[in-house]
Amino acid sequence: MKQKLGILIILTVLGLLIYSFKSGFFDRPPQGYIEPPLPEVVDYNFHIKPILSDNCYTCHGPDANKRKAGYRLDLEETALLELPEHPGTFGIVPGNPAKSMLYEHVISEDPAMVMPPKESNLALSPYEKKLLKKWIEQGAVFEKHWAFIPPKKATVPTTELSELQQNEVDAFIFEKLLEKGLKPSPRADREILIRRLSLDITGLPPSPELVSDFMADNAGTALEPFIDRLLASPQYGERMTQVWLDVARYADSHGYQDDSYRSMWPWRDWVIHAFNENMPYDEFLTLQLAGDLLPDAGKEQLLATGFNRNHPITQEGGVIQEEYQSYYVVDRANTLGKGILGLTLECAKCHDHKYDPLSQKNYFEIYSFFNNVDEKGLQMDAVQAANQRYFADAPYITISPEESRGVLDFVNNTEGKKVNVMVMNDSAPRQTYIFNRGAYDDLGEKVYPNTPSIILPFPEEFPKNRLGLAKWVTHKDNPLTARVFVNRIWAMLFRNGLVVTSEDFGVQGSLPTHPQLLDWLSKDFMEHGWDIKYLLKKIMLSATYQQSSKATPELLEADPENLLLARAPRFRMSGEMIRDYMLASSGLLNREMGGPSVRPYQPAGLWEETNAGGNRGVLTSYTEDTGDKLYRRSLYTIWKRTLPPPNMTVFDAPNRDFCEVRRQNTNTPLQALALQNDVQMLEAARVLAQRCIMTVKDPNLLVPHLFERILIRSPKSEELKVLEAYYRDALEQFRAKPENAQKLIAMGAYEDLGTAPEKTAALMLTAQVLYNLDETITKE
Amino acid sequence: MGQKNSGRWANFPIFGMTVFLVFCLLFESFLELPPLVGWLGHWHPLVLHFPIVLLLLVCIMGLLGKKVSTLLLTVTTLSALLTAITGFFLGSKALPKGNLLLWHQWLGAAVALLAVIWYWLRQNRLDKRPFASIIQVILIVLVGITGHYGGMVTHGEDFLALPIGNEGDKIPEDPFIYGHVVVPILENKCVSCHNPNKRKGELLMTDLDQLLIGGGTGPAIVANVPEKSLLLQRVHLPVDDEEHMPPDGKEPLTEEEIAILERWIALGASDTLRLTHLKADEPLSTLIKKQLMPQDGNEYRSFPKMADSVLLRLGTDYLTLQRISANSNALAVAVFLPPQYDPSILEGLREVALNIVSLDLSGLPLGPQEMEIVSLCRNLERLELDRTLVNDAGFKGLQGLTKLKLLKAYDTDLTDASMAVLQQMEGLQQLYVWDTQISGAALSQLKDRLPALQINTGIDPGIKESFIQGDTVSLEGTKN
Amino acid sequence: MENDKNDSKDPLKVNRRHFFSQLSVGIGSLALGSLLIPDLFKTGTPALEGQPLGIPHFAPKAKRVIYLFQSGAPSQLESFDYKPTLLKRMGEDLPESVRNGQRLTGMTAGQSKFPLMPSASQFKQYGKSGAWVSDYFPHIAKIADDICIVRSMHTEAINHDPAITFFQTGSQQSGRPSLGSWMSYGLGNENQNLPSFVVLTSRGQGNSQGLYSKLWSSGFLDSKHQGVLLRSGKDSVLYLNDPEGVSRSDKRHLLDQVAALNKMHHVETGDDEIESRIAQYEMAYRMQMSVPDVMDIKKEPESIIKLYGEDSQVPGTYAANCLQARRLAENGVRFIQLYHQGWDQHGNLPNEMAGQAKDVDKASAALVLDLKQRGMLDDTLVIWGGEFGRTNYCQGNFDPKNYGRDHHPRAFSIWMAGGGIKPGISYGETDEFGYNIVKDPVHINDFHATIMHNMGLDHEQLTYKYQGRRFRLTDVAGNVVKDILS
Repeated sequence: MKQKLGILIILTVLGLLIYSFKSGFFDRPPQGYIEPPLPEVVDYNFHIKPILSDNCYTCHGPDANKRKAGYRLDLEETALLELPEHPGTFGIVPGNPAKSMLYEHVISEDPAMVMPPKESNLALSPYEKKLLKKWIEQGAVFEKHWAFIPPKKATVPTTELSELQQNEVDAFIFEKLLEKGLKPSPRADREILIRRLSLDITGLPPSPELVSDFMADNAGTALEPFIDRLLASPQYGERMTQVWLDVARYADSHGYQDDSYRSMWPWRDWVIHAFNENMPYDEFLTLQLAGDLLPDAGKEQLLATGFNRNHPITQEGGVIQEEYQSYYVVDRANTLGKGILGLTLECAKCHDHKYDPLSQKNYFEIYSFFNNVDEKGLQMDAVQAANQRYFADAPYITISPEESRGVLDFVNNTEGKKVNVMVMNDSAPRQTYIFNRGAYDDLGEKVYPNTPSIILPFPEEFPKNRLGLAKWVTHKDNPLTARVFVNRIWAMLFRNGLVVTSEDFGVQGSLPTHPQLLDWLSKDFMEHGWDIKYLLKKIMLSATYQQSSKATPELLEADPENLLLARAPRFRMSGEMIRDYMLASSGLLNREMGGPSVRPYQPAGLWEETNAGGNRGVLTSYTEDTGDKLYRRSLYTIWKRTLPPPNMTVFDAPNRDFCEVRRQNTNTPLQALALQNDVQMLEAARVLAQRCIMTVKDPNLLVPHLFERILIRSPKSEELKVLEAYYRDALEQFRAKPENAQKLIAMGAYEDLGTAPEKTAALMLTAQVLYNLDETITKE
Repeated sequence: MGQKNSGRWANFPIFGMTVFLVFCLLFESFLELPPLVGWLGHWHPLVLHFPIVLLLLVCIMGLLGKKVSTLLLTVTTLSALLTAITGFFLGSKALPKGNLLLWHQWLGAAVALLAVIWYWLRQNRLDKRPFASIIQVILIVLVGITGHYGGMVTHGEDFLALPIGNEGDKIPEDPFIYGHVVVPILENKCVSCHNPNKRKGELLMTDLDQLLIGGGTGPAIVANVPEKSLLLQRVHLPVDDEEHMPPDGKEPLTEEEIAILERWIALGASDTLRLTHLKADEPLSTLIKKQLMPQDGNEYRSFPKMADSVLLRLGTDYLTLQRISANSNALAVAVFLPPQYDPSILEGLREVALNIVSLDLSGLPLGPQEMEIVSLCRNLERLELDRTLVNDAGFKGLQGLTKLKLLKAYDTDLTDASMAVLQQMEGLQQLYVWDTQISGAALSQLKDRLPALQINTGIDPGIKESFIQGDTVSLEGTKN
Repeated sequence: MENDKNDSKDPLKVNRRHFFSQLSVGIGSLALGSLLIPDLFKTGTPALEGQPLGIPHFAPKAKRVIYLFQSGAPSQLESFDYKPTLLKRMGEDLPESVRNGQRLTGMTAGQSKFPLMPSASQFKQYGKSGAWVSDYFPHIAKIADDICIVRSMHTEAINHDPAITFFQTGSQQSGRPSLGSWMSYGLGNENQNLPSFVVLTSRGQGNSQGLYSKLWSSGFLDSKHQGVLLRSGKDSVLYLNDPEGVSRSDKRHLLDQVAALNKMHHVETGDDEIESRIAQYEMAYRMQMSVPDVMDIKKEPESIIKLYGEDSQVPGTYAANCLQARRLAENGVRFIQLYHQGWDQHGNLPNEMAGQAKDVDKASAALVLDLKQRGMLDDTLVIWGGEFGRTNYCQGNFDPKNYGRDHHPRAFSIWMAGGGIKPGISYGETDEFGYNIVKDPVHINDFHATIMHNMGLDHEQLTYKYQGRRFRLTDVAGNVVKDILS
């Protein structure tokens, strides 16, 4: 009887268990509920600091004014101290979470006690809490912020994928891939590869000759000669300059109120020159920061310092000069921070930096380097300036036509007139004070030129001026300069930098996905004399760079953001590249280099609608150029800050009011409209169509030829089918309505090459289809 | 014989598991559990039901003097241990452990160990009446509490709290000022520190007498003299002031709350005062009436739940559905005129008809098919039919929309025939019917029927005229 | 950067769907869930930072904003801030005690005297509220009981660029997203076929100051939140019109080919960005139809045209833009930003002011009336005002017929109507000189906080993390001005 009962119970138990198994009771909880496993050793920089800085530093960080309960958490010495407001207790007791108030508060369920407090709208995830616990258990080790430790060359790892490795870059990348159980993608098709190389190095599609040579080279794998060939082309300098102009916030107008013309273009020409000469990066920076202070400073060195005069300058009547002078200096300091050091210095302008160990004092010490420029400030308003051709505020240099034929032969002075360019000098030494709460009219303590020692103490032997600053910036032990540049080059090629937040290497910035690789490349870059072409080549010769960009479902699942680079990136080109692509592929491109900025097509009335009314100087109204000036590369398009070229801004170009190092990469309907209806695009389609019709005799080859001209590859049969059919339809349409053909091919100022209108129109639309493909405006 | 066997075969596992359990509990902080163990933990929610049933069973049997079979007791003990251990595994994944979880863990362990003790007594024939009964009683109690904590861990603290608990925040028609209004304020903002446990500044704010007595620095409340009442003084201090209450980091009182406290004290800080006792012009009464207003969203509680996936599915390029606010099930729907209009455009709305409180169909060429769907949206409070082709026939279908507060029908073909329907819309507050066939007489009738209704018949003719005629200061002679 | 997904849909909506789909699991794992990650089941503020965009934090009063920005800064002393004392003490020097240390622009810093200058126009009281309005604005006077005049606005900036940038982006230096972009970011599109933030510009006869695209830029927010400049003339949106010789059906046909080839390539590359590109092309195609349709004011009846004034038929005028604004509002555009230039009266103020007023007075008032009769005023917030005020003393030589006023940041007037704002009140007061605020000051941050509040957004919770910092429109300040909420 009893046994029966027992057996009965046991049977029911078993029964229930089996049932519940079937009913999926024990299935693993769905995605998102599962936490990543805790790391063996919790790393302060990579695991803990992000949590602390994101959730705690606002009140327990470097900013003394906002500090709560007198507890500072970003420094080891203070974090381990006894809590001033609760004697006998400690924020962190290494090895003992239970005794660490930090942990106590973090896990508390008492709303009065829990940290971060409810009102902060912040909350730690259980995983973060566990990390903190484990970190404290492991002794709560603090480390200097990773980016402030000078890079060291780690030994290049050896992986079982060594046969796929082409150089050190791959070793580091593959190591991470294997950790995640991934394999690199195969090499990209040769057509895609040559297109990728050409776009990355010259910003233009490869010329048909280059492509044919490349495809002809049956040896196959040898990319090096082609890379060299591309690096040697002058378009390389233009490509690199394009990117640098965002950093240098270059524009052809003063910005602010009236926003009239300034003649800075010779500086832009110098940058192109510098890149094409492959000037070492440290020298490149030194000239721009302090060329005027170099012992034997010539015109070129002076010209280079225009870098720090590219900031907006007000011409608004009735401004207070001191106020704006301070804005200009602030801008220079911020540009140094964001563009060269990868630090959000500006955050330390009004108060100690909330997250990075930068004090307000540090900020104004850097500020003081740039505070001695003999700026006269507003001399005349836009109208007077226009009348007197006053296009450069003092201090400036004058470049004579002679010079632009001699020492400055890279300055393309087509007008043959004297041209003034704003430059730096130190001829108005000023005493710098801390601005309380950042207000220019609320002076605090005196400060003198110096740099944050947390990054690298300012060597005694260096002069305390911009030259010394330049030496400090390019010092071999400066942990930031090389890293930041290498990272930006990486971002240029891979969309994301190894540090995704290219503008912020500070505590709040993202952490490097491949810290060792970043350090290795940076060190290697410095060891090779800051040689930019070398750096590019190094990366481009890696298997990583040469991978196919196809994304398999597995890869998308494993690494949607493609941070591990198991495949090459695939992303939309910049507005400039897109326009240049159309110009080049249609054969419209005018390859003239340098010179005053030009005025290509722009929807009528844009400037007129927003200017200050009436005649307000040179840039009040926009009159398109004529002839081949319309077809210059986009970096020569005149840049008016208050209304930059719309066909660039729709593609996320910044307005150049301040230094920008990372453009968004959006995808909007306005872009679709610009690609369809911008005169330039239509004209390119037309001219390309006409050229094809003229060169290709066999009508059956028209569409394939068109295709190859635009996409640098031969069409697949189904693609061809679609396009052929479309071309035929269109042709019939236009034969039915010739007047439409006439209207359509009237697009653009470029001469009508006299091909049959209907044919032209039909092929033009076919070209438009191709120009509007995602593939066309994307680097694959 | 069966007993003997069961005795022997069970001793080892029970002993082993007991040791293991104790070990786990003692050295918890040093354990890093392998994933498999974590997986074992997932069994807990299932296994736990057996010991509960079995334990209660055996205990009651025991208490009723029935003979408890050793086998049964064995199984019970085993299941109890198993539950406790799996429970521990599961809990170990939920770092950091909250108080609830800790209580649950230790109580659970206690149950298991107590069961083991009983089992041990039984093995050694020591389970004579007194001990056994005591154990059994304790077990029953423990099982209850443990279970309850377990419940709270999974379903939230108040999952068993009586409905009144939830009704608590709802204020009755004629509330006690102190009991129903003041107390909740204090409980939300003050009691977390000034309670019997903490007694910050020796002040208790849990009942009126204590408030009048006050704390270290004097009475918190002085009846009739707000300015003398420390409570208010502290509350009024600038936020950055050390003395300000609630202290830095705590949620401060709202102006309304402060005003309420102030008036209540001014009126004598009585705990018998009711809303109806207040004079009409007494600011406090308006303040409290405000509190009486239903909290936002409450009126929509009864609406059918609706996942965002539904919204994403139903939304189209020309039809936008939006929750009226985060986490509300009430929908606002706007439809825009597509280039090729198709009467079936609203079909998708059938599914969520009862969630829609606001529907904007302005400018659409509405036909019977659409109007039929509109008539399904019985919770509509706001309906925009202006500039549509709606006519009396189509409008008839809307009788059912009794919750309608606002109706836009200007620039339509509605005539007096639609009045009957409007007459039924008791709740209607705003009506826009200019540029329709509806006669003034009909409207004034409607106005009599629904006095609260505002009828908009377009811009006041006088003003309109003056706009159409008059121009702003002419510039004669001023241009130069 | 978080949130910079490029999906056609709002990324967070998608995440939400994802999240909800995960809730479809048995109570068993729900129990586990609550054990393993309590936060997931805790409701409350932490969740709010990831507020699903396109859904207000709480039920909003207003669905959309029409901001009638008077660029150049109209004088409060000739519009809504009546100061008889200036007449009594006309010509007297502004007492230093009143000015106390206010910094001056370079234009009057040199002036030795600051002679008080009364308004050239008369003031009368209007409406039940008895609001004071100058004769320059007879039509706005007629809607006195529909609007809320704020006479106590103040700012820090004393020059146009920083001041207008402050008003439009919450910061004096450029680089922050503009008000409209924040709204678009916080509330999303109501109409999928139109941009959620549009800009219309017009210019009067008066001395005007420039406008800058940065004023409607989305700053560090995704540029789909950027203000779209709607222009008079055929290309109302840049590149909107197809080239001649290409019909709608031709375009459709062309786009179908593009889509077909893109789809093939999507299969080939597996890059979903291509799908979203296709979606963007479709929206562009729809915009090509919906925008001209909305912009076509010929559809408006004569009586409406007359209401806004004959100008409303002339594209590009302020009146036309007001009418345009109403049509856009009807079609679900979230934020409609108008700029009317020409309010910078450093000299010749009486004449220029009259001219500017002629441009805007009637149309502004008509807009409010029109919205009201359409029952749209309740959920449309209308704002009228400039970037700062003007001095109570005259700039240049003293001539009551033809004087000028310099920039004045300490006190100026704007008005708001509808969208949860209390009608028929005047809020805030300045001293008898109209120089300093003596009651209920409203800072730009407060102004922004209030707008957001009425749109159902909590200005402290709508944040965007950029360069490691959570940015807010109101930065670290701002209080909702409760007293003017209806």
